[in-house]
Amino acid sequence: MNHPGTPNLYDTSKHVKDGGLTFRARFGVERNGVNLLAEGSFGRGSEIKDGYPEFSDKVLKKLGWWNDLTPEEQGAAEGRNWKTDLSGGIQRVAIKHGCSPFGNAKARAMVWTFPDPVPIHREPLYTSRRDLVAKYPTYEDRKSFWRLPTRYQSIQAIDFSKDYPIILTSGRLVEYEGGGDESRSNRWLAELQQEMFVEIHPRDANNAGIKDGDDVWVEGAEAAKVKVKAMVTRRVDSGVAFMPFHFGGHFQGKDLREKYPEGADPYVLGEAANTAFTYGYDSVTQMQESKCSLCRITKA
Amino acid sequence: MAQMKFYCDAERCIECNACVTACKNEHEIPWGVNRRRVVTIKDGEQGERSLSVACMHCADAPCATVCPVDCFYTTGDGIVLHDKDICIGCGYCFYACPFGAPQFPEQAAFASRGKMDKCTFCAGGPEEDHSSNEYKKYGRNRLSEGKLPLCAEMCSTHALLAGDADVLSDIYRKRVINRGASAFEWGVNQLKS
Repeated sequence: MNHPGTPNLYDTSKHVKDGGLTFRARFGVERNGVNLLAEGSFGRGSEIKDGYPEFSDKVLKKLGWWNDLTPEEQGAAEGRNWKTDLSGGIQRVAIKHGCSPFGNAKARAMVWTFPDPVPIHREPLYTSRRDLVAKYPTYEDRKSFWRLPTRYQSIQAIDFSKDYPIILTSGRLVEYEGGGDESRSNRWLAELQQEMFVEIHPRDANNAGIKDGDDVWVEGAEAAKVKVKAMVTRRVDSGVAFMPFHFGGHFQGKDLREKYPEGADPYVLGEAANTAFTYGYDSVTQMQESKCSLCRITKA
Repeated sequence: MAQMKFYCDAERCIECNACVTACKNEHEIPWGVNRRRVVTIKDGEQGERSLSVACMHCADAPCATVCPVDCFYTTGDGIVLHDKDICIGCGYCFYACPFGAPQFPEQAAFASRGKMDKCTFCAGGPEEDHSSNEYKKYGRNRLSEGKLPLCAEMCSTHALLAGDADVLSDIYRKRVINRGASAFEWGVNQLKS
């Protein structure tokens, strides 16, 4: 087919064969009596001038396009859809007629299987904005979430912000990947980031008597502490601190290098950001909350 | 003859350090020696800019002017190279260079300076092309294989360009036209978009 790829999703200004696509009809054709397929919107060159479901043998027969398949393709496509037809014939014929094999539905930002079908703001469990808790409360505690009791509201009800005034977030460095064990074991990369650090705004650093390059304790709201270098920078706003999550091998100020098997220790070790992070899980995926917590930072 | 140059487009550099890593890997450069590095100014503030810097292969190279043993030479392609067999590791070139390009591997006793090491535009050195001596002293010789420096080849945003000065300036001119304003009027571009 010599397809050029699809650089932009949902681009109907191009023919499907030239890299255009529609919104996938992934969740049926209607819900609560409302049509989920596109109305009056279709890709350039589409012979169906409206929405359509995903392609299958039945759809091709109904459209009268079944005989566009070769006899071999017809044999393979019988009883199949565009995903399961291993001959690729259903996809080929759909694209030949200017259609996306996976259908043409309305783009939407509503997921009715999620607790919040449309995303809304909910204050983090550990928040410094107590004034927003009443207006944007989190979820009720759940007795069984993937079989596990999971807390939300009962944690948010506690005010940690007096003792832990600074918002703590975490993220990546370009030099490292994931937990960093492999990339910190690569000397070209390890040389570029040799110290675990926390980014602090100059105002917060000044209030805490911290200078750039000082050793500091970052104490998370559950009282676990990490000893890291301070980077005083305007990369973060006042009241916010950032730590990269690629380090490991130090725990609460202690270097654990001797615990690595011989020859397995990375060039660079440092405190793991997760040590200072706190409880909290995503309401759908149960992914841990590692972006939004509270801490206090003191000179070590 | 081509005049080989680097150009780093500050509108495009994202400070990913891929150029640095590519260089170190390609030439097996030891820890502490950086033929290329990324410099960021106004880090975390409005107008932050990053630039990848190495030897700029100056037409009138100050390192060559100050070198007491005259170890520098310029190739027909305008690349400034040096001979490590002549270099005495005095460090004058480091003082003279506006870009901090010359690097000195520290050797054990009294941290005395070793022979100077710097970016070769991936063009090796005075030894025989592709000889093991050339690789050991100067790194890979890509230019003689018709390849450009790896740092620029690796650059994911095409910020770092390497090649004939005429071609580079042509690419850059087209970019400036496409952006609709001078690359130096960043604030103005922001307001427009």
